[in-house]
Amino acid sequence: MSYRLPIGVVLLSIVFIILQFTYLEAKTQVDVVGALGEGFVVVFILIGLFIVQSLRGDRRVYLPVMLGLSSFYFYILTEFLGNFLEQSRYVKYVFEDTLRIMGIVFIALGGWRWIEVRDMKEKAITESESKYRGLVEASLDAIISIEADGKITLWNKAAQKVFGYTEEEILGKSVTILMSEEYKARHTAGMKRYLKTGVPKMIGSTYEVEGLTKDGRSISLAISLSEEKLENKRLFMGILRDITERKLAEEALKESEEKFRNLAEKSPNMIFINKKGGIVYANEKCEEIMGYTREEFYSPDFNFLSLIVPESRDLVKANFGKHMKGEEVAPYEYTLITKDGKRIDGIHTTRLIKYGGESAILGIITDITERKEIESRIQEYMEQLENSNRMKDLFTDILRHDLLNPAGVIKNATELLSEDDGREELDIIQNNVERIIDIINTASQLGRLEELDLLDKQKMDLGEVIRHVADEYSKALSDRGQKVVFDAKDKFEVDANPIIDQVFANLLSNAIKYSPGQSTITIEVVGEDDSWNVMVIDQCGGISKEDKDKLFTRFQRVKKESVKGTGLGLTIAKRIVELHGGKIGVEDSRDGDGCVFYVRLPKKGESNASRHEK
Amino acid sequence: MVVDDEPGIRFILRKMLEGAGYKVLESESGEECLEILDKEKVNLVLMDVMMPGMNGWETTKRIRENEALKITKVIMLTVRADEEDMEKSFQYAGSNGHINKPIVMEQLLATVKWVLDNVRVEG
Repeated sequence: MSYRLPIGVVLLSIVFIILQFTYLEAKTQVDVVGALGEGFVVVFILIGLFIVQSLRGDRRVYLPVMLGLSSFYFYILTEFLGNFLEQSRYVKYVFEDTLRIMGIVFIALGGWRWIEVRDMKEKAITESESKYRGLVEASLDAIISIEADGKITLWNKAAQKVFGYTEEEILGKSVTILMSEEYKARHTAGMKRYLKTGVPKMIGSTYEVEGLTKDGRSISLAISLSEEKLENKRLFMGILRDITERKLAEEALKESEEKFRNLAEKSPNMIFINKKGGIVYANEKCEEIMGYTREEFYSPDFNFLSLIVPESRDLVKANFGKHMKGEEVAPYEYTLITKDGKRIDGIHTTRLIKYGGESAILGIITDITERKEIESRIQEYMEQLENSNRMKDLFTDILRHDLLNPAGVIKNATELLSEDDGREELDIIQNNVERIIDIINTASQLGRLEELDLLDKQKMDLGEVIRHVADEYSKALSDRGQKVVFDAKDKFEVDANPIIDQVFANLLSNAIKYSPGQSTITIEVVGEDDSWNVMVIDQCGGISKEDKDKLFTRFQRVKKESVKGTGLGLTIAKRIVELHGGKIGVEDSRDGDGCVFYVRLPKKGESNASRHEK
Repeated sequence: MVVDDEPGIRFILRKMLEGAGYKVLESESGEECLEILDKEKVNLVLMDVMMPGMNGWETTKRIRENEALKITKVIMLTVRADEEDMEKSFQYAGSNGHINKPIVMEQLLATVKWVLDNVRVEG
């Protein structure tokens, strides 16, 4: 319906008016023409009503149409009134015709405008539609619209790419073919509910769904829905994005994170992640062993260095620094402190990792406290075993050499006894029996000392001990014309057991035995840092280096040596000194003419090593 | 000659050997033994192995190395008579016989007699 109708109407109206005036002029009644005029009026009233009904609200169309209809109304009124009032025919016709023409003209004008407005609207719609179409097609996201019954009415290129269906294939089909079974039911139910209640649940928000492609693949989609209400249609529009890959990556990440957590949680080792000096992850074992809860570990006030003994902190910090520079750090040992102050030995394996996009240190700590304890117990036990083995060897050696010789001599002497008066044999027997008893006594003393770990100690003055020992040997000294020089008057206080006098007695008796007659034995005490150094200087003529080494270790005689053992005296002396946390040894004297046997004993109160470490 | 640092052993050996009619000298160390051998003519040395200073093996070796002492035979006295000791006595030191301590008189006299009668010291 273009411009033809209103133009036609106007032309017809003009023709009709001309006819009317002709009819007036002629003053003749032509019924055909009158009937025709009445028919026009009816047609135009109908047109006017149709326009009013179809285009409510548009004043430009509405106004002329209403004016036209009003004219017709007055026309009809004057027709009846004219008949009733018996007006002059002239007036009646002129008035009637004027109204009739006005009605026709106004309605024709309204019709013209109506068509014009409709065309403009159509044009605007076409324009916006093509813009909109372009946008939809250019979109990277799939855009689909459906009607309330699920029929697809819009399908863009991106949708084709995502789902695989072409526009021709999919338009008019139900949207449910794009859904997995699970979502089909949910969609149907949701749509039904919405259409019934009008309360949207999904519309206006973005959420994730699972879709089904043409070739049956399941894909993850992010979807946002909107609704559009046209005159009597409801359109639902969805913008969808394929997030399958993102989802897969997310899932893979989640899985690997879960795997790590599972492994870490069940690990018998302590596992933690340290980011910028703060603990961001700690497994169950960390809580169990260290005694802190995870809340405490993760607290920003928590200082992880407080878990480490002060002497290990620099090491740990240095190693963390190495990591941050990208260097590898080999597993290392250090000691941890638990919440209640217990020390834990651990082997620490660390690695630089990315955590939350930043560098962090993943640490695994194996608690080796128990292992260390067991190791040290084994070590202790082995030392004991070794020691008792050494003692066994020593006692076997004593039996074979020290005891066998005198016993053999006694046996031989008794055999010879019958052959002469026996005085000499009896002397020998007596000497050797005394030797046997002496050997047995010293051996059993050594055995006892070897088993001891600790001696009871009291405050003693070494000067007094030495003077006392020298007194005891005064007879032996005068027998050989020897003398002892010990000038010191000071007090040399030590924590010692009275058994310490045996050490000096042994050194002095050796000095007497091995120094020539008329010689002088000098005893000096020198204060060193935290110990007293007692030196017994004799004139024995020197001892070879090898012999010096063997002097204090009787045990070594069990090796294939043909050097006569020195007896047990120095071995016992050494053991006693050791039990006091001291040291015994021998050096050449300054003039090279003798030996200096020295004994270093900790000064009183200066030693916390009084416990002998085996 | 009896060489032993133990006076008891020296006494016993001297008594036993004198009882069997031998003339016996005594020495308390390897060094003293060599000094005496320089002066005296000795047919047989009973040598203790374990002595302070120069031990029995070393002393015996010196005796064997001395051309002038060819006629002097050596019997070692040991408490340890394992293979290694024996080998050291015979091969290294060059002794002519071996006696175990403690001393059994019959064994001692038999060994001494056998060595004196049968062993000829090779030049």
